[in-house]
Order: sequence, then structure tokens, then C-alpha cells
Amino acid sequence: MSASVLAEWALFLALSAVALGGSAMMLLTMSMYRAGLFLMVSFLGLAGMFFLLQADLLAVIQIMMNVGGMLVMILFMVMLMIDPGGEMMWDMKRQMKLPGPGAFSMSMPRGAPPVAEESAATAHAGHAGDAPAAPEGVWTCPMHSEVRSDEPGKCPKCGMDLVPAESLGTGGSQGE
Amino acid sequence: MNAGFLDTALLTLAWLAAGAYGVAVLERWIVPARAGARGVHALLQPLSSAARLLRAGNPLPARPDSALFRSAPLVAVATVALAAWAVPWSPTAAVDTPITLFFFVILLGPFVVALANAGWGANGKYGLLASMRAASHLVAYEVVLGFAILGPAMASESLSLVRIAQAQERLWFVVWQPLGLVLYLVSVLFAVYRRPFDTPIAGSELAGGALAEYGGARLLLFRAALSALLFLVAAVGAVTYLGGWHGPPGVAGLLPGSAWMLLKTYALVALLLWVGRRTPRFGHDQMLRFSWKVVLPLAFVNLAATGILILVLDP
Repeated sequence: MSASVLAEWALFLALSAVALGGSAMMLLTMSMYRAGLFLMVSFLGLAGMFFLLQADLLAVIQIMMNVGGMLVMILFMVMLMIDPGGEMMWDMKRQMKLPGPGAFSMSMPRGAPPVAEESAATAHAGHAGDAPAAPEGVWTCPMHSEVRSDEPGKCPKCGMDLVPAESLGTGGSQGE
Repeated sequence: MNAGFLDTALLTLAWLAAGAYGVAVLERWIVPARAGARGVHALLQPLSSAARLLRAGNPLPARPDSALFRSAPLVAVATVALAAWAVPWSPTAAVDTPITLFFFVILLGPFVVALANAGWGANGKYGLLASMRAASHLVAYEVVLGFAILGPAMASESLSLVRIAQAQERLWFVVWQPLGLVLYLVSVLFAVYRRPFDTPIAGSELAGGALAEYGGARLLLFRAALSALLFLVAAVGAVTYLGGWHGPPGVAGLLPGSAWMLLKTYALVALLLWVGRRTPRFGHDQMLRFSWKVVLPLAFVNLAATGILILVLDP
């Protein structure tokens, strides 16, 4: 096998690794922005293969379509991800601080979600400003609304009888 | 790879750096907003700026997307260097492939990716906005630029920059396609992020945009890449519309071909910088609207007119 054939094989294998690795990383990364970039890298690997096949025009078209296309995709994703009411899932798209390959793992970031996200989610689920609805058969103290129980009984704080949460007009408001 | 490849790469980087230096000097002469030395002192002032940036350290913003933030200036320089490979300075020192022109236009795309990555990786609001602007910039200029350079390609029946330059031996394309040159210059102003279309890196609007968080050597690399990009698009403009290495008729023998080429390139650079100085910055929405609703239809008109002229003039 001559040196040029060997070099061609090495180049082919390297480009295959780029194309396959790029598409695998696109699936594995948690960052939408990086997913778009990895897809772009994967297609650039394919463009390199077209160069190797001496199909220059196809290779250049491949670069044009995919760099432009992926950038527009990223643009739409960024625009859709930005929550006008707050920084929705801010950490998921931005915090890539996990060291090394960990940054590409499938696991969600640890730690409590940002407060803004939580309150936005509950406001959405509760339909416009309702306090969280008490589940069926919840008993609470008229004086201490933080006390919750599955069955009737005495309040551990003041000894009053617990009443059904629904019977309190406010639905057991937290009072804070 | 062989030694020839390495030589070519180093040589390309060297003349690209020299070209960018020339752009930096011209910028200091033409754009008063770049405060600093005037007159002959401006010849050395980019050196002192570069030295200052090199000594300034490489600050990182808080919680960046580190890989993207660090790699973006390198991607920018690599893109510009790859695109530089396509420019023919003289008939002998030229890479001739059948699609050089197309190759050049397409390679401006990854530069946008570098800017978008820079803005995104910085993990800040200015950077994020700049990233979005850069991405929408791409579509706005690439279509227009693609149509603006079709005139010379049609007239010379080739996408090779060498063939395009050769086709202008007797008559430069600018003489009978003046609108084409204007459209080309407007669309490259989009592509190189100069005023009036510099919204992704605008200083007074976004505090530097994609470059806001950069400092030190990375900022130097980015600025050099931006200057080199301006130099390159001017060079390609000189090839496609101003006859490349052919001097004006009558005086063509006074200078060698590459000197004519350099002269035309810097003339175009000066023109672009002057236009930038004289025009207020477009808002990003105004810019997109201008690109799609004014420049693109004009490019179609230019294309039709060029086709008719080719049919009428040529046998």
C-alpha cells in the first residue's frame, strides 16, 4: 500500500470519526446550542468526505447549506428558549460547568431549579393566580394553615380540631 | 502532509497579517472614532495597541461556555485563513480551482458561527443578543452576496477567480456592471461587520456585542480576523470587478500585477471605511429589511441587466 493511499485512508477514518462523533454528541449534549453546533460539525465531516471524493462543488454546497441551516436553527431555538417572563431553564442551556466529558452527559444539572421557574410553573398549572389547590381529603388547622394531614384530628400546635381544607374559603392560603 | 502545504499556510497567515495591519492603519486615518495617533504616527500605532492587548491578560467572564468562548477567536482566524487561500494575487501565485469564487463566499459563513459562539459562550445578555443578531445576519448577507457576485461569473462563464480576472484583460467588469460593484460592496459591508451594518459587535449599542467580554490576546485575534476579513473581501472585489492584476489601460506596464492588485484592494478598503464613516448605523431590523427588500431586488435587476448586456455585446 503506497503512502498516498494510506494517507487517504487515515483522512477518511478521521472524517468518519468527526461525522459520527458529531452526530453522537448532538444526541448526548444537554445544551440545545451545542446540539446545533455538533450537527454542524457532523455535516462538515461529511463535506470533508466529499472533498476526499473530489466532489468539490458538492462539498462546498454541503458547507453552505449546513452552516447556514444550523445557524438559523440555532437562532430559532435561542429565540424560543428565551422566556420573556424570566430565565426559563436557564441552567440547562447555559451551565456547562461540569468538568470534562461530564458537560456532555445526559443528566440534568443538580440543585434546586431557579425560583422564577418554579413560581412560573405553578402559576401556569393553577390557572391564573389560584393558590395551590388542596388535594382530596386534606385536613388542616384553621389557625395554622401549614399543618396538613390526611385524616381528621388535633392540630399539633394549638390543639384545635382539624377541618377539611376545602371548607376554608381561601383553599388553605399560606398567608405569606 | 508535505512541506509545500506548511509553507503555503505560513505564507498565507503572514500576508494576511500584513494586510490586516494595513487595514488597521487606514482605519486610523479614515475613521476618527478610532482615537489615537494621527498622520505618520498611525503607521506604528496598531503595533502598540497589539502589544497592549497582549500584555493585558486573558480575562474570562463569569460562568462562560468555556469551550465555545475560548475557541471562537481561533475559529474566526482559521476561517479567514482558509478563505484567503482562494484569492489570486497574480496569475502565477494563484490557486485555481473551478469554484474558487463560490468557495470564498461560503467560507464567510463559519466566521458568523465564530461570532455567534463568542456571544453565546460569554454567558451575558449583550453576548446573547449579539449571537442572535449574528445568526440572522448570515442569511441577510449570504443570499445578497451570492447574487451580487453572479454578474462577473456570468460574464466570464466561470466561478474561478483566475478565469474571472483573465476575462477582464481588455475591459473591467465595473465599466459595464457598476450596479454589481455597488451591490457587492453593500453586501460585504454586511459580511465584515463594518458600519453601518455592525450591529452584532456594535460598541455604543451592545457594548461590543459578541466581543464585549473579550480582552487580551483573544480580542486581538478577533480584531485582526475582522480586519483581515475586510482586506479579503476588498481583494475579491478587486478581482471580480476591477480587473484583478490588470492595470488600467495605458499605464498597466508601470507596476507589476500584484502591486496593481494591492493598490485596488486598499482603494476598496478605504472606500468601505469611508462609507462606514459617512453613514449612520442601521438598526438591526432596518438592516434586515434593507437587505431583503432593497438590495435583493436590485441584485435581481442587476442580474437581468447583465444577462441582456452579455447577449447584446457578445457575439
